[in-house]
Amino acid sequence: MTQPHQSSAAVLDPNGGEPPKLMSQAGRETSRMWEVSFEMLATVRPDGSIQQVNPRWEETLGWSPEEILSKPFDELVHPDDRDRTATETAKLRQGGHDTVSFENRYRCRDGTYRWLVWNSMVSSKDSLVYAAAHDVTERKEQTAALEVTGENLRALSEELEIRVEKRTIELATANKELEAFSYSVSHDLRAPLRAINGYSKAVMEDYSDVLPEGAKADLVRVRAASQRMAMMIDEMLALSRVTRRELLNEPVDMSALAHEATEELRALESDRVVHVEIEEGLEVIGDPVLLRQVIHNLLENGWKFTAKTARPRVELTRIESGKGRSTFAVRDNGAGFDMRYAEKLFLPFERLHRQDEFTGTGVGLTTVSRIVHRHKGEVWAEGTPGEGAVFFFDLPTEKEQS
Amino acid sequence: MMRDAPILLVEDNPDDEAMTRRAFEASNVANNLDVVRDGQEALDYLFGNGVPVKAIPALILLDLKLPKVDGLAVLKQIRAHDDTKLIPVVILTSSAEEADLVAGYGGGANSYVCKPVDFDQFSESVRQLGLYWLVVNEAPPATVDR
Repeated sequence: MTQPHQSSAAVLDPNGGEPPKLMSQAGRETSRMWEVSFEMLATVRPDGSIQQVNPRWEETLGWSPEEILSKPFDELVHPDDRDRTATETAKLRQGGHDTVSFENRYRCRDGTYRWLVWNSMVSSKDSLVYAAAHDVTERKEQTAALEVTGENLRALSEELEIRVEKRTIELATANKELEAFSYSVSHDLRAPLRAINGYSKAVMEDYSDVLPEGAKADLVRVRAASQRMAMMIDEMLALSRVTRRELLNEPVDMSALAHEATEELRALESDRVVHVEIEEGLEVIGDPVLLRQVIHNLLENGWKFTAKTARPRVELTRIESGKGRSTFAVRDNGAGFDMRYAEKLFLPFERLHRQDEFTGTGVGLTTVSRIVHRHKGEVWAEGTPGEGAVFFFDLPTEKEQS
Repeated sequence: MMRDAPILLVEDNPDDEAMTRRAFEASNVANNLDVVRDGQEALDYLFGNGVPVKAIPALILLDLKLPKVDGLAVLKQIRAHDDTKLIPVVILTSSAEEADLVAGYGGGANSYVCKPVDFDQFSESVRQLGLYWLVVNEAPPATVDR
């Protein structure tokens, strides 16, 4: 096993063929190196026949040393690599040039090929080529696999980019259509309502002496209905603006907004006394214009549904915070609602109370829900009929890392 | 002199025209109300285009959404011509979309009124418009001189 397949001294000793026992100390050491080397080592005669190989050859390629030595140097080279190998060998033979990191494929005994990387030089003394090769098949395969993976990734990312681009265009088109739709609603739907309202008024004025009282009352209803529809159109537009508006991301003092909203509500209904309690220092991150609407709508909601309550009370508090978000609650002791209908609360134009009990169009809470969702938050509610309602919502309190 | 000049209403919707007319009648505005029904007619009215110009109006009430040439394009022409550039223009339209407001004022409108659906409110708006622009407000000299 540790014996060289032929006398390695023949290669390493300039005299060649000398029995090992006569080898110099240095020769013996070199011979051992020949045995233990991880590299495939060989010497090749000027005629291209292999003179000597070390045991790594058999381990790597599977050929016995005898088989190797019986073949010309290039016979085992992959047909596709033969020309390159011949060119490189010719250059090496001309002298003044060492082969460094030359790669080619060698056929194994089992018919497969291994990638070898070569360093070789020609000795001017004996005209032998001294060659060392290293099996790099695995590295080659890994590199090839990586290249395939990389290629696939590139293809995938290209495909993804194309898809994103396509979606962006689709989204932009949808947005544009939505804009056009809102614009059209805003302009065109109001005009006929104005006519309904105006002509009703005209009939009432121009024919007041011949119209029975009942007809006049009906016309008043026609006008009220047209106004109500106009209000719904306006709120629908406001709702769509909430969705279209570009979201700002800045510190917002919810407590301050709540105080402002309360002042507005008090100014609108100065005859009502509602006890409003607002926790101070409720800071969040978001869009000040939209969050003002959230607070306003929720407080207005509490304000409205406590109209028939003896000691009306509305409060805004923070109930939980952590992980860059806080949960808030707006609580009132008003009419409340049946939890069976809780999910209807946030749908547009859905109402849980008759118009003659509490007025409204059913858009306020939908707006709240859309705005909170745009801030990546949730909104939910709890209620008991006759006892009150609580509206919960959560908002970011830290800027998102982008 | 201002009282003799007409008010030009640029309005394509006959119902809105009728409502505006009715509101003006109720508000005792003495000026004639001339009505054109699209943007091109408005330009023809103001700039002739071959036909002699009828009159330079004391006030233009301009709808934005109009057939053929839209209200903003009409406004641009009004402000670009020496004969018309000082005429008070009130945009009287259905929408108060932010983009329209910006474009309207940006184009040189003197005022922007969103027509209320309720006729009583609409009448009141028109009455105040007439009162303000034809009585309270001092008209620009260029329109008076003509």
